[in-house]
Amino acid sequence: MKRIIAKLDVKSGFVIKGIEFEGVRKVGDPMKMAKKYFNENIDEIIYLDCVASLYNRNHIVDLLSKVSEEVFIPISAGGGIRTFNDAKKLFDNGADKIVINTGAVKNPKIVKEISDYYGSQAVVLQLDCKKLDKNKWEVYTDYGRERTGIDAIDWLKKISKYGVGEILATVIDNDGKKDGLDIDFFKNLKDVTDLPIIASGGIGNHSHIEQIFKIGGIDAVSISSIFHYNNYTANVLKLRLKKKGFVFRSL
Amino acid sequence: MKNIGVICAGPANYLSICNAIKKTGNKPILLKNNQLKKNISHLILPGVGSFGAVLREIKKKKLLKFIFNHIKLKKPLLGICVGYQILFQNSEEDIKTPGLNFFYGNFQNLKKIKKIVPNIGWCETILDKKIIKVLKLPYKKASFYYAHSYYAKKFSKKEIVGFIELSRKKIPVIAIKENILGVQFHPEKSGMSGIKFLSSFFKLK
Repeated sequence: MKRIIAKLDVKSGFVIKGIEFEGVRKVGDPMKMAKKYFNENIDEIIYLDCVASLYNRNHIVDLLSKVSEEVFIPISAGGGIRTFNDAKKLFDNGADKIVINTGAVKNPKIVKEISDYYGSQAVVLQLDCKKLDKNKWEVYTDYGRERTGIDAIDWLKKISKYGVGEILATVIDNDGKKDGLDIDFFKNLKDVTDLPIIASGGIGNHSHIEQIFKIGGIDAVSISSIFHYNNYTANVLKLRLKKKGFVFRSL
Repeated sequence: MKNIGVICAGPANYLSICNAIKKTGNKPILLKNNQLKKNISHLILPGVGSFGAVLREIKKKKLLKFIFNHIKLKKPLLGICVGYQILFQNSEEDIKTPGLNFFYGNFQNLKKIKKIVPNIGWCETILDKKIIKVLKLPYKKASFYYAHSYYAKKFSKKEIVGFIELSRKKIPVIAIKENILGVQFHPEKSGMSGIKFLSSFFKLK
């Protein structure tokens, strides 16, 4: 079965959205939006506190515990996880999985520490990268602010050994533009890992999703813009994709 | 409103489970040690983490007696995810730690039959007539949310009442024997189908 996931980037209590992670605009209330998406039959929710890494803090803890009272699908949360206790706080407050990027690049062992305790299925690696060249992508941390000089494919091979359960992969160059995913990137990615991949960055309509599902081996997409700006609902996307033969959860 | 006991054995998303119980109109009670709690009608054995770790935690907190006593009183118990797996005999995830042995069978890594592991996501779950009848479920099949790396290779057909299909193989995901029920999926994370499943379980006498 395929999955359609809504990603909500949160900054000071608002869901925000930009283009290539820049020029962000406030688009709504994180609680109300998650409830709306749940009612429209989204399969999962991801919350990312996108300035947490910058200020060493995480503001979505309170939000999580309230959301989990009303949203009965998997909720992932991340942003600013540097220590085991940062992750624990999110799990304790209703996160089913944690999402980690900057913390993992700075100290890969933290990933092992979290997955040894919670299981690898509860650890999502956030892979934000920019295209450098043909078949070459560089890992970025801190919500796209910092270059790392690390090759995305090499990084994935390395960090997988520390106990990751899923990869949330975004090509920053495509993000927010609604022009489609960087298909080449995902073809490269799926050849080097047996972990489930969530493709993100650039989805503007159902054909973009069809494109990525068709290459095989990728069963999940993460969407922000077209949900936040009310261009589509999960129900409408699924209806169109079902006509193309893709299967989603029944209700 | 019934009191639903939730065994706290190691890492699990207790808040989600408690919120799902509240959604069904019942009251969750977290059981962190062997202090006797009265009036618990149904017991949930959740579990995220590994087979061995959950079992060791149950023993460390002296909760084993509580579980056995609950079963002896013919009250319903529901194991979820790893909480389902430990109801069986053993798992290659931790061969040194035996399971609770309520169901026949052993778990092995999904890697042997499936390329992409863990199996994370929604799966169509086919329910047997028996479980539909016992729980009075309003559906014959439903999509539930799964996140697991192990599956029961050997099992008893008599005890298994629900399957999913992975790599064209039927994988057992619901087991029942008298008042003991186990599910591989996360009903608390499976949308309204999952809430319906839980509320049917809580109606079991």
